[in-house]
Amino acid sequence: MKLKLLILVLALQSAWLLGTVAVQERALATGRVILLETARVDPRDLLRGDYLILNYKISDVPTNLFSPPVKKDLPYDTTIYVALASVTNGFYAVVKAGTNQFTLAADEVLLKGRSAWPRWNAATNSIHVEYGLERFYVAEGTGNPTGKLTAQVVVPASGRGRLKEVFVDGKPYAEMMKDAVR
Amino acid sequence: MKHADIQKLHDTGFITGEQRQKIIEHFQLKEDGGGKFLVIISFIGAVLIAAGIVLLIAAHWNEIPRGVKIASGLLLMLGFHAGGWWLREGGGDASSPASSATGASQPQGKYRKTGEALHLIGSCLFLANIALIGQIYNIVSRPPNAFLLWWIGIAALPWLLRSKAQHVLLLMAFGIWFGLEVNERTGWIYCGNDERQLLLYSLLGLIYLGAGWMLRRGAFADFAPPTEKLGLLAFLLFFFPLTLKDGFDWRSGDINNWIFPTLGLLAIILLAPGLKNLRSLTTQWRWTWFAALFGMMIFMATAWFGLWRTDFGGGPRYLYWGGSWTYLVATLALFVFCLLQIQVGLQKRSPFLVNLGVVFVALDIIVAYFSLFGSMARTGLMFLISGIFLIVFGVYLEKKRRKLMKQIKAQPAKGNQP
Repeated sequence: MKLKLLILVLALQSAWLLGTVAVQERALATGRVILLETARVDPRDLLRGDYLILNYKISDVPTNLFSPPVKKDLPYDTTIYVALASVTNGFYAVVKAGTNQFTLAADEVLLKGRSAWPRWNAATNSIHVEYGLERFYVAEGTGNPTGKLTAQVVVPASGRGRLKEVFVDGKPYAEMMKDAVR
Repeated sequence: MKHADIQKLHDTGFITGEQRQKIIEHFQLKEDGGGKFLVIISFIGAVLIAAGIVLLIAAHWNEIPRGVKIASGLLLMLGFHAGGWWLREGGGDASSPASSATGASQPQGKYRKTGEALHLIGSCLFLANIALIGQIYNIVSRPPNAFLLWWIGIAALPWLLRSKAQHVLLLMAFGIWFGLEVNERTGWIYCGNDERQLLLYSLLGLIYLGAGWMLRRGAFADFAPPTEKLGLLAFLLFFFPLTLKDGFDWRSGDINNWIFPTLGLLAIILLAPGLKNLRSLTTQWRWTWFAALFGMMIFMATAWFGLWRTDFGGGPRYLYWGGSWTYLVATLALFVFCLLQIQVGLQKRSPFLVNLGVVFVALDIIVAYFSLFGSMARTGLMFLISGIFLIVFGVYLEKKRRKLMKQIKAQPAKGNQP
């Protein structure tokens, strides 16, 4: 009986792990792939290792793009929807934003985020938004790339983007850093 | 009479396995040093293996395809649990059936402790696998969520495997989650940027202590000692910073004030009914011990609500509280509490309670020496008076004890007289 219960617990643990893998894989396989411009800083996570914190151009959303308009004291952790459209060199930028979901034009992609701390940037009059795309885990000691960073993001219909790949000067990150280490 | 002697009697055939077990249970004999050393070594090994695997995952090997990484992580986790089960339940050689002090059946394998260590690695690897998936898919989520998931995932194992090690891991996992959640800005128990959060961890220690008392009567009574020890250690460890003069100049932050009373109430709900399970203490000492714990809670409540502050003029939040009497009262409170704890430890014949009390009395005195209660002369005088008082008090108690012992010895003699 105890063995059966142990197997059940381990099966539940495995099911959760595999379920998460399946959800992530499905999102990566079926979502729309877009390119975003980004820059980095590189801290370390004790469980998951070195990573880059990516700060996207779309992370600061100008308040004039919000409809209906928002105030600078927008509560922390408010859900924010942004419409992205390809504007320059295939990179996507915010064309519309709101705290409620809205209808999109045919060439637009809906991305969901949350107002982050600090929420309001006085210099640019923009709201800081996090999309859950801000971490990119890298091999130990390779968190110091030089060059232009580009993020490839997959956006499924739910609007919850997944970071698929980061490129340094157009080359996949791991490949580029392997060359740099050599 | 030692555990090893009973084992020898059993090995030579003078007593049966059942008799051996009855003697061990009756006299509460514990395994000898060699066995304990093996247990300690096994568990240090388990922790090292788990930490090693976590670090290998953190090193992030790009060359390995993600499917292989995920499959390896899963197989390792399941493999350690399978190996653990096999060793605990009598894979290879099996010793005679054993039962715990509560009569519950125990695993019969010859390498029970090694099996338990493998199960422990398996549980740690569940967390490692959560981290691995987070790393592979660059998942950004609230840090406490991973630990909450881990805690939920391993919650059934201590009870299923009847493993104290799993139980301690579960308590620690909850503690880690609680600490992270308290510091998570979006959390419903957020108390970040405020040193008063230490009081919450101290209260959590009391909740563990109360849970340990409650566990004493029931099918899982063997889980009570580690729960109580971990709880009391956490309580004292997180209370201790209150005695630091410059270590508790908190900021009044944007915190949820209701958390402290809620946790306090929970601690009382567990401690009060659990009190009756402290059978080795007299009723008077039970209530004294409870009163000491309750008194400390009351003091912590006054510190939580800022009763001892001296120069906080009200006004906006996020003000630095430069002055507070907290450290003075906390130093005295901890001193008195530890003396009571030592006395309770002596009554219960618990070396842990006594040693822990002595360690914290020593730390308290060191802190008082450096933070000074006033001028050097005043603090010195206070130390002298306290020292003399304790020595005189000790002599008085010893005299009283001898008098009582004399009376007790004299009573049966009187009773025998016609």
